[in-house]
Amino acid sequence: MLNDITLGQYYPGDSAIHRMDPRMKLILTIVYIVGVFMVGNLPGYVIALAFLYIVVRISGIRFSYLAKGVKPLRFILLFTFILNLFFVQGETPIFTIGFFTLTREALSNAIFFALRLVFLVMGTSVLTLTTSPMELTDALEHLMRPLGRFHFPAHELAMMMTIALRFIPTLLEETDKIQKAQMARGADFESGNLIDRAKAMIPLLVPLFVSAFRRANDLAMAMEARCYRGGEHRTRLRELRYTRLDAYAALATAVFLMVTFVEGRLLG
Amino acid sequence: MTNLEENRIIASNLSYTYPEAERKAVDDVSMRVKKGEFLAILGHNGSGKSTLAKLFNALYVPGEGTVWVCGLNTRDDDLVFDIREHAGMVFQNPDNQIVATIVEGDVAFGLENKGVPPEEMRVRIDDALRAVNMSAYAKKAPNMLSGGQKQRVAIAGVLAMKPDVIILDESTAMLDPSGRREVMNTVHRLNEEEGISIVIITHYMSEAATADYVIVMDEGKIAMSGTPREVFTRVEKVRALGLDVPEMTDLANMLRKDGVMVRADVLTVDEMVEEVCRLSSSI
Repeated sequence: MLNDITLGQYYPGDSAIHRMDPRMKLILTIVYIVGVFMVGNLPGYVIALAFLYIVVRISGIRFSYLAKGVKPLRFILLFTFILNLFFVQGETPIFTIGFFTLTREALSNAIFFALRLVFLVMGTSVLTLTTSPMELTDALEHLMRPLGRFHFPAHELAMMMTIALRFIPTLLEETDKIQKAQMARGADFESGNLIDRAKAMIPLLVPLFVSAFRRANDLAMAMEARCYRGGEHRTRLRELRYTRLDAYAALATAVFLMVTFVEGRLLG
Repeated sequence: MTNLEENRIIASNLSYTYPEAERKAVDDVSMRVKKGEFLAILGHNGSGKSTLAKLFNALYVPGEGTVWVCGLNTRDDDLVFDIREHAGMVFQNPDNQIVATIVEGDVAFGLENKGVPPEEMRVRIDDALRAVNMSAYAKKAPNMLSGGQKQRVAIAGVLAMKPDVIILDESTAMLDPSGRREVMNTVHRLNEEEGISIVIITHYMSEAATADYVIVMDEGKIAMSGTPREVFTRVEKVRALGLDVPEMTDLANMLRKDGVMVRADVLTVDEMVEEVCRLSSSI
């Protein structure tokens, strides 16, 4: 059951989007989301969709893959849609059932809000699908570095993320092993009500925690033995470098942002 | 004694007591690791052999006595990181000493800590991975590797630092026989080809039998020392210390008791074959 672990949802590839500097990808994703939230009318959404479509085509990710990321959100989407439908006050009624009047404004608001959420999820999915967890960690460390002046532990956070990523498969394997060992001795993880099943997890979690602490202790000693002394004066094997590719991407996104802005002013 | 050209590690009258422990874990130990030497430290559990290893690269600071690593005193706080560069350490559990999520990233870890420029790092990583025959796995995730391969990656990580001594603290204890052979072959090759001094902490007699020099620890003290032949031919004493002798030495010992006069200091199967052939041809 634990064999097919995929960390994050990285979709390996060698497209221009994959090769971009992860820092730039992170920044541009945020810019895109801001752009999407500035959009307020139909042509704006068409532009946002077109931009996303082009990016996804370049990245080589299949749309079905991207749609999968939206699926878990269907209830939230439905919820916001209905909420908007009921609570937005409008002036142009479409029809009335009893005390409820559906207005044009409410309907368009509901649709746009749902669309915004879909774009938001898809936009960030493009980031996580084309960037390996390691690259993302590197990018976060670099981008948070200026905060170090305010004693923000950027390097430590990145190191924690790296170690967590490294140990997730190890601990999953161990969970599997402990679970099988307990089952061999008659432990029952499946039957009973919720409380029974939660109780059955105790003999699984206690040894797992004990071993995790032992591992942490070992790893700390190994890191010390390899001259680890925090983030200062540290160099990195993979230097992040902005290339021409990143400049093009930044330019394209800037154009997108301007077009949506101008379009909003002209038509909105 | 203080000839630094010849000695990589010198320990003199070394003692160490764990906080809140009553007994000394290491008790008045004096020894040295020579340049290019392959040294094995044996002992049953709790004999102080792992503690001794950790004193050798400044993970522990001696309670009494002194350790010099390539002429550097481990008591000196400013030298700690230099010492750890000179004396690299490989630990027991292969899973708990790999830091990065990609093999080459892990080999880079020590170099990154040292602040080595990326271009030089690249060269050193490639060399180190080649030296342990793991070049093909440079981009793999560590959790996809076997135990022996993980330990070789750990050795590469140490090797990239260009150490003078590599200390293996029971690094084969959790491996299967083939993984153990991989690791032992690797360290023997590094010892012979690169001239790196090796200290292995082990309780496998077969591993100690291939060393240049053997030290047997008991209750924190050095109980026996000498070449493997000198140590293992004293079968009764080795047994009394809670250790086994190599199988072939044991066999030779039994044969001699039954009046078959093979040499007493046989260590390996090949030597035994030779002895038996010699005897049968002389009959």
